Amino acid sequence: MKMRLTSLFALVIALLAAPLFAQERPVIELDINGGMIEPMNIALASFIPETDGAGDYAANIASVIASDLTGTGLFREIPSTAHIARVDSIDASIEFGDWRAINAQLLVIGAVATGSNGELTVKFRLYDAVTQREIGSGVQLAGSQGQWRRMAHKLADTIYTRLTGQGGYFDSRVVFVAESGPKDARLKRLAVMDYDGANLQYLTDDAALVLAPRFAPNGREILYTSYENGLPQVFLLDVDTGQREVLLADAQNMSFAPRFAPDGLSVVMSSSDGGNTDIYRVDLASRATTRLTNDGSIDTAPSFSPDGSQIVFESDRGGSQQLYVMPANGGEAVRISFGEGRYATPVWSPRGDLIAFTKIMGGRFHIGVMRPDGSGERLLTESFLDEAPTWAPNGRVLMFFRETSGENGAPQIYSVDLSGRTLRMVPTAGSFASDPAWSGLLR
Amino acid sequence: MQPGQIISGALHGVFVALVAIGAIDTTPRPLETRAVADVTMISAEMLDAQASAPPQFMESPEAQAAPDATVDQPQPPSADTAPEANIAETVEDPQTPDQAADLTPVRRQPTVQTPVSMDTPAFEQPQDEVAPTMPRVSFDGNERNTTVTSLTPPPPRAAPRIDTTPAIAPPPAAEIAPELNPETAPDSTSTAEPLPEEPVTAPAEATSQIQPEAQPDAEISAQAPELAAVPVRRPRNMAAAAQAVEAAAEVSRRVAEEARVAAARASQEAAIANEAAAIEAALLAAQAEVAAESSQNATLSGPEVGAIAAAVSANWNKQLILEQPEYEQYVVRVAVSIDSFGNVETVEPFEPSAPSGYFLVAYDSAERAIRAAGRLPLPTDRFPDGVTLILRFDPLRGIGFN
Repeated sequence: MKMRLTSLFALVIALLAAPLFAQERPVIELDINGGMIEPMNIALASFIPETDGAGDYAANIASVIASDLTGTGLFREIPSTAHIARVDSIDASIEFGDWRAINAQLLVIGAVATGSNGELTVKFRLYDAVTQREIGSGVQLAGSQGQWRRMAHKLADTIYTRLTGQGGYFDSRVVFVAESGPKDARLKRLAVMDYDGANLQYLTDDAALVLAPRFAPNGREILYTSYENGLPQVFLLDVDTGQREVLLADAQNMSFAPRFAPDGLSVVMSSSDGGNTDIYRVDLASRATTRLTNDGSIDTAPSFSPDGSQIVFESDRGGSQQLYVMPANGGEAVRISFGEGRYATPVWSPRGDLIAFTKIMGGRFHIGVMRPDGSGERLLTESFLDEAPTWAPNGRVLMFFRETSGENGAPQIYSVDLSGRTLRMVPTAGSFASDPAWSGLLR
Repeated sequence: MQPGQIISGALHGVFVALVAIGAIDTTPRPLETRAVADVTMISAEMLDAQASAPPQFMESPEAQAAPDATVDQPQPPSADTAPEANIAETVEDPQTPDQAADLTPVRRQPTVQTPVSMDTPAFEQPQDEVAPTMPRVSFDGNERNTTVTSLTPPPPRAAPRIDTTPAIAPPPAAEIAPELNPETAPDSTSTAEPLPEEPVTAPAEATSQIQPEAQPDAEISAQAPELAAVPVRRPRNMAAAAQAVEAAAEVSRRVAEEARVAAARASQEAAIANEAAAIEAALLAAQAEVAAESSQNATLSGPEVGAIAAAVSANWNKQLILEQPEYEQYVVRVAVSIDSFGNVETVEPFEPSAPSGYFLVAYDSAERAIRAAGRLPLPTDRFPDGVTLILRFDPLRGIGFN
């Protein structure tokens, strides 16, 4: 009996005392409004050369990474002259206070080593200097020393993806039409380069006029239009071997404006038959042709949606040059552009959420985007002549060419992000450039 | 000895004793003086001669004797009491011409005892704006048959009784009268241009009184029990008449019973609704009380909230969030433990609890903002054990997006 009373008393005491020990902090909810929109401060500590002869690679790789990141407009590099701390090892602990002192929010450290047989090894780590945590884990890339730029681009893509959640676009290439000579006698040839203009290579000579090259999804083939045989024809070029062929060898009609299907197994293009231009689909394996439009107007510039189910194209069937969407196998086309002016060269975004286009309005040219249903139209650029947009692999940036007016006017390639704030000219080794086409992300 | 003799003897003894001590006045009273008038006897001829004789002129009338000052001396009126004017002795101002009596109302508007209900109306409209409406009188011009009395304005016409209690619901079996003007869909085929809508104003009322004649009673009749309107046919004989009367009475009783049940149901429903409303009001009051109590115990004032939010938002870089497609959906809530000095102890995702993809980008930017803010301006005296803040980061709200 006594023991039972003692237990009961202890229970009562415990119940009464429990709230005292289990006292929780008050919880208060707040809304955070405002904020700021500005590039994040990123510091790239000097990459550590782990072997002799790796110093130049280390510096150059860090420089390319910084260029890639700052070129997005999302990041701002803190120059190395402002650094007050050194990183001596890729595995050393970080004194975040030293980096916060220079207002760095992000920190990249790296190390580069060269091998005796031309190998190159690059390691890096990414830190959040504010939260004092490593973002992701360290990455090591190995390749040949000749691929150091690609390795730098890949590292930049990794950093970009970890910070933004989006896929990168730095390790990609651009094919375009390189132009030279006077305006009334311009020589044109195909060229390919890294997205940032490096590693430019010519793919064709300037014997024949070439237009509108397009990368295959695998990046190994290029479609383009050439006047090599007298009339415009679509050619298929193997980038690795340099071999080219007319897509439809027996065709006697003009064909132009080709573009690969997302699966790379077929091509859509325009073909003129008796003065009527329609859109056709060509199976690459059999070269069988399917007519997708049958209209008395000019239907051209087809572009697949990323899932391959739809095609957007331009047509003047309604009396003016507008954009239409139809099923990939043909069928009823629905007009999606209803703004003022004319619309041309539509290109579906790799993300599928937008369609880029050229807009001609009031004697000025614009690059713009709209949703696939035609809503949300936004114009990103304006100039005397902006034309032929092409999407970056992640759908965040557009390239196009801008031609200046006047007798000495010439085209150049530019890039702009979807906000329209970050407009940059892409270097093309001193040559004029038009009709850019962005590849997918290289593998 | 007889008792009577004893009593008599006792009373006489008392009387003798009183006399002996002088209690009884035995002195003789004085005689009363009687007024004596002198009377002169005259004959009838002398009386006639005195009555027909001309009055005698007195050359010097005798001065009247002054009244006895001690008798009937009038008391002067009190100073603060106005003398009462005798209405009968007021004299009209001779300068005021007499007004001719207006007999027109007497002759044309006889007072007719109209059957006006003097009951206080249940719903009374203000009467002071418009003169009361005279009831219509059937006037035959025969003034002799009218009773002329003083004309007074007729009392205001009683407003119709408006019962504010809920209408009795019709019995379940009763039919509901169809709407007189059922709604019809607009004719889509009509090509006529719709008339421009004009602002509708209420018609000017001629009187503030309620005009029962103008009151539509369609709604009432629609809810009236249908059985009540069935007429009883004239019976052929008395037995049938009795049966008919009985049937009518039965119908009336049934209708009355159904009406009573419906009224009770409506009353019950109204009571339930009132009770529910009362409960809800009580709950709201309790919640408000709890909120007020909690706000007193563990909350921040407006300026304190603003200071903390400003410290965090000043370090919140939304650049990477706004890069995302459909970025407005990436709203994150972050739980922040803060010690009593305002130092951030832990920062954890609260919603979503395990962010990934673009939500992770949003959360990272939020945590950076919190960490970069450093010590938050928390009122330490009110939070000795620290506090947990749930911060909600909405990228859509802020610079240029509100």
